[in-house]
Amino acid sequence: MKKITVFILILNTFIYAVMPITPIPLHVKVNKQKALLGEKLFMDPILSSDKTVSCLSCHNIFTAGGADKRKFSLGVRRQEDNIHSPTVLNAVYNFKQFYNGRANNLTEQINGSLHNPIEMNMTNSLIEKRLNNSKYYKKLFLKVYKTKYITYKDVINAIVTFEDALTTPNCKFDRYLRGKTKLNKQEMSGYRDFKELGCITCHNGVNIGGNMMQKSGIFHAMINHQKYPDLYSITKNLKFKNVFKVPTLRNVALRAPYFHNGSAATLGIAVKRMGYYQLGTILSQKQITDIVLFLKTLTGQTPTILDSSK
Amino acid sequence: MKFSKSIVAILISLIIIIYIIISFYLYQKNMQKKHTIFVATINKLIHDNLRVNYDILSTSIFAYNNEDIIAKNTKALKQQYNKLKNLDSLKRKHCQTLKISINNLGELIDNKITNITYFLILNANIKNSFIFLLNYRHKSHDYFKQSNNINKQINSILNNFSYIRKTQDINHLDIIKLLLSSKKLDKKQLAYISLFNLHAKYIKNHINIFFQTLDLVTNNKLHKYIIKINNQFNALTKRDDMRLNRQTFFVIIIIIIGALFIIFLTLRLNKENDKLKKAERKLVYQASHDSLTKILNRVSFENILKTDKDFLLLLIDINGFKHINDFYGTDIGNLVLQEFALFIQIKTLEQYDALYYRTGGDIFAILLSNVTIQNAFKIAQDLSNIISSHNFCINNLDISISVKIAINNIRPLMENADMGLKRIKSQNKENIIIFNEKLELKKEIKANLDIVNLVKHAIQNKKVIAYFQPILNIKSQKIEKYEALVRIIKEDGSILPPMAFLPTIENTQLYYKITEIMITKILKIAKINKQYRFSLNLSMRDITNEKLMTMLFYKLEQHKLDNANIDIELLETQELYDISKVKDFIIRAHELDCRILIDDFGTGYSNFAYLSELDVDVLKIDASIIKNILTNNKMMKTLISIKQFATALNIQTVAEFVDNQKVLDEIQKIGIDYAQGYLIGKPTPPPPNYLMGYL
Repeated sequence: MKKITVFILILNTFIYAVMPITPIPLHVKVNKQKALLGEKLFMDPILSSDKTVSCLSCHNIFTAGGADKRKFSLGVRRQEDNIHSPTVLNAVYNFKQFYNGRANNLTEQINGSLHNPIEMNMTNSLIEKRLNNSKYYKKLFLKVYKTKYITYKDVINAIVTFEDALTTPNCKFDRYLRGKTKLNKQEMSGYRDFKELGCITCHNGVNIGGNMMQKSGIFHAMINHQKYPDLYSITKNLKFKNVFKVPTLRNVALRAPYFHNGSAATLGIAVKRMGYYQLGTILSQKQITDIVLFLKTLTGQTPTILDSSK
Repeated sequence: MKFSKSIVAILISLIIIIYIIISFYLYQKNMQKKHTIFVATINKLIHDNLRVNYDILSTSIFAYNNEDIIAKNTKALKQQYNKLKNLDSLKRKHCQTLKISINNLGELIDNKITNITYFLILNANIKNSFIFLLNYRHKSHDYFKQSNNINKQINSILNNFSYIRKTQDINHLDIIKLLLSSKKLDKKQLAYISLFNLHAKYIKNHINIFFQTLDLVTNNKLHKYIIKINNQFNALTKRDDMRLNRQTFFVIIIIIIGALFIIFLTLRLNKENDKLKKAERKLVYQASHDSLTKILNRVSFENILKTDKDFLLLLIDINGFKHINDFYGTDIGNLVLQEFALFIQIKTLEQYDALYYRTGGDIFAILLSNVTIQNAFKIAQDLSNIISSHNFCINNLDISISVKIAINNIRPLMENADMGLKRIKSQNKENIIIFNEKLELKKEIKANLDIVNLVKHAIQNKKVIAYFQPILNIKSQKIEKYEALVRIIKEDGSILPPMAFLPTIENTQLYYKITEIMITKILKIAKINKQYRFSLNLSMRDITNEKLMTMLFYKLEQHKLDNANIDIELLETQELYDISKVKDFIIRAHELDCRILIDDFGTGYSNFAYLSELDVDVLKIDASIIKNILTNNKMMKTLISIKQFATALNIQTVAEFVDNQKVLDEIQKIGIDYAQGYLIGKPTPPPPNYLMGYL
C-alpha cells in the first residue's frame, strides 16, 4: 500500500520538502586539550618516515582551504600522490572518507594516510618509538592522556579530535539559511540554477556533498580515472565503475585546482565541466558566473581551534 | 551444648536459604535482562530498517532532498546490527542457529547498503533528467514552430514517461515512443533534439534498473528476516522459560524443606528450653524446699523475712527427737519428721496465710499473718495438744511426740523465738512461751554476769570447794565410794549448788578453771583415802574439750602412781557428740584404772542403745525412777528391767536418791549394787584432815 501511495506522489510532482542544505553548527564540542595536542601532531613531520611531510603538507588549513594548491601532493621521498588532496575542513561531516569512501571515519582515514608508502609511510611501532623518545610529547601526553607511554591509539585520537574541531561555520550562505543576511541577485540566481540544474541532487546536506557516492561522467565519459581506485576496485561490483564520493563544496573557492586530478584550474571551468559531464547540459556563461558567485558564499570562518591556538 | 548446636543449625539453614533465594533472583534477573536487551535491540533494528526505507522513498519523491539523513540512518542500521551481533545472550551454546541467522542478516544488510548506494546514484540522475526534460520542453518554442510535429512528440514522450513511472510497466519500453526524431532539421534544431534525447535515453536505459534497485532496497525481505530471527529467539526464550520454571520449582522445594527443617529445629529448641526451665524450676524448688519434708526450708524462711511484712512466728521444737532417732534409727526419725511436717499443716491456720518451714533438725517454723498474739497462743495450745494426743504410726510403731512452741512477732523473729524456746526448754515447765521484751532478757543477762563475777570471785578467793556424798555397797553395807560435787561458798557464807552456776559458765574459761580445781581437790582427797573410790562428774561435752582432757589425763597419770581410785561419772547432754571420741575416752580412762559411770540413767537423754556400744562399768539410776518405785508400779518395773539389762551387760548399778529404808530394802531385793542418797549420807565438805570416814 505504502509503495503505491508513494509512487502516485512521485508521478505528480517533485515537492520541496526538507531543507536540502543545512548550516554548520556554530559551536563544536571537543576536548580542547586533546585537540591542541592533535594540532601539534598534525603539523609535525615527525609522523612521516623521512620527517619531510606532515598532515599539514597536503592539507593546508591556513592557505588552501584544507587541501593542496598542487595538483598532486608530494609524500615521503618526494613521491607524487595519485590523487588531488581533499580538504580536511569539515571532513568530520563526510559520511565516508577518501575519494572512494574506503574509510568509514577519520580514524581510518588517518590510519590509511600514515601507512601509505607514498604518503607518510609509517608503522605504528615507529610512531610510538619516535614520540616516546620525545620529551616534549611525553610531557604533553602525560598531561592530556595521563599516560607515561604514548600509544598509537592516543596519537590517532588526538589528531581526530583536532580534525573534529576543523569546522568552518558562519559562511554567508549559512547566515542566509539562518535568515541573518540576504544573498545578492547574482548569488541568488546562482543558487536557483544550482537547484534547478540538479547540482543539489548530489551536493546537499550540511557539507553540500560528502553524503553519497556518484558516478563520475554520467552523460559523457570522463578521462584520467585509471590512476586512482574507484568504488568498483574496492567492492568488485560492476555497478560501481567510476563511482566516487561526492566531495563537499564548502570553502570550494579556496581549493583550486579542482577535481581528483586537479585538472580544473578555476572554479568556472569546474562548474562548466560538471554541467556537461554530470548534468548533461551546456551551461551559459551567465549560469556559470552566477553559480560561481553562489559557491563563493560557501566560504566559512577559520575554525575556532586555529584562532585560539594563536 | 545441644542448645547452641540447634541455633547454629538454624542460622546455617537460614543463610543457605537466603543465599539460594538471592542467587536465584540474580540469575533470573540477569536472564530477563538479557532477554529484554535482545528484544529491545531487535525492535530498534526493525525500526531502523523501516526508517531507512522511509528515507529512500522520501528521496525518490522529493526533488531536493538532504541525503545526510539517509547516510546517518544507514549507518545507524549497520551499527544497530553490530550491537545485535555482539549481544551477550548470543554467547551461549544453544544459540548456534540463531547466530547463523544473524550472520545471514548481516549479509542482507550489507547488500541493502550497497543497493542504497547504487539507488542514490540512479535516483539523483533520473530525477535530474526528469526535471531537465520538464524544463526543456518549454524551450522547444525557441527552435520549432508551434504547429511543429516536434511539440506533439515531446508531449507524447513526456506522457509516456509519466505512464511508465505511474505503472512501473517496463514491458512497453521498447514499443512506445520515448525519443524525438525528425527530418529536415537545421543545426540548432538538431542540437535541441540531441540534448533532449540524451536525457530521454538516460531515463529509458536506467528506469528499469532504477525500479529494480528501489524494490531491492525497500522490499520487506530484510524486515521478514528480522522477524524470523525474533521468532527464533522467542523459541529459545520459551526453552529458557521452561528451564526457569523447573528451577523455580526446585528452589521452592528447597525453601520449603529448609523452612520445615528450621521449624523442626525451633520446636526442638523450644522443647529443650522447656526441659531447661523444668530443671531450673526443680533447682529453685530444691533450693527453697526441704528435701525431706517437702516444706519450705531455712533459706526460704530467711528470704521471706527480708520483706517488710508483719509476721508472727511459731517456732516448734520436738521434745527429745534425738532419742527417737537413737531408739528407732534415723530412717524412722525421718519418717516421723515427714509425718510431723504434714500434721502441723492444720486447716485452721489457712485463714492466717500460714507458711511452713523446717529451719533445723527438729525445729519447725510456722509464719502467720494478721493474727493477734492471743489467737496465736490459742493456736499454739491447740497445736501442742493435738500433737501430744496424736499417735504417729510409723512402720506399725506408735510414736508419741510432744512439742515446745515459742511465739514471737518481734524482729529478729528467729533469734527471739529461739531465745524463748531455750527458756522453756531449760525451765522444763511450760510448753508454750510468748516472746516479749519483758521476758527479762536483760535481767537474765545481768544475772548471768552476776554469776560469772561470783564464780570469778570464788576462784580467786578459793571459795570453790568439793562436797562428797557417800555411796553404800548394799551387799557389804559398807561405804565404798564418794561422789564429788562442786559447790561455791558465797560471801554471805551460803552454799551454791552446781545447777546455779555451771550452765551459765559452761562456755567460758571459768568452767575449765572450776573443773581443774575440782580435779585437784578430788585427787588430793583420793590420795589420802586409799580405801575409797571417788567419782568425778564430767559431761559428754567435756570429752570433746581437748585442753580439759589433756589436763585430766595428765593428772590421772600422776595419780595412778599412788592410787587408782578415781571413777568418772558421764552426764549426757542434749548436744550431739561424737561417739567414737567417747569410746576413745573410755579406753584411755580404763587404762588408768578409772571406771565409767553413766549418770542419771533412765531419764533425759540416756538410753539403752548406746550402752551396748560403750564399755560402761556402772549405771547410776536416776532419782526420778527411784523416788517413785514405792508408789508407781511402772517405775518399779522400769527399775527391774534396767537392772536386768545391766546384769546382762555385766554392768553394776547405783540407785540415786535413796532417802528412806523402805526404798533401800526394795532395791536390795532387786539386787541393785549400790545406794546413794540422804539415807546414806548428804553431800558434805571433806573433813579438815581430809580423812574420810573418820568423822
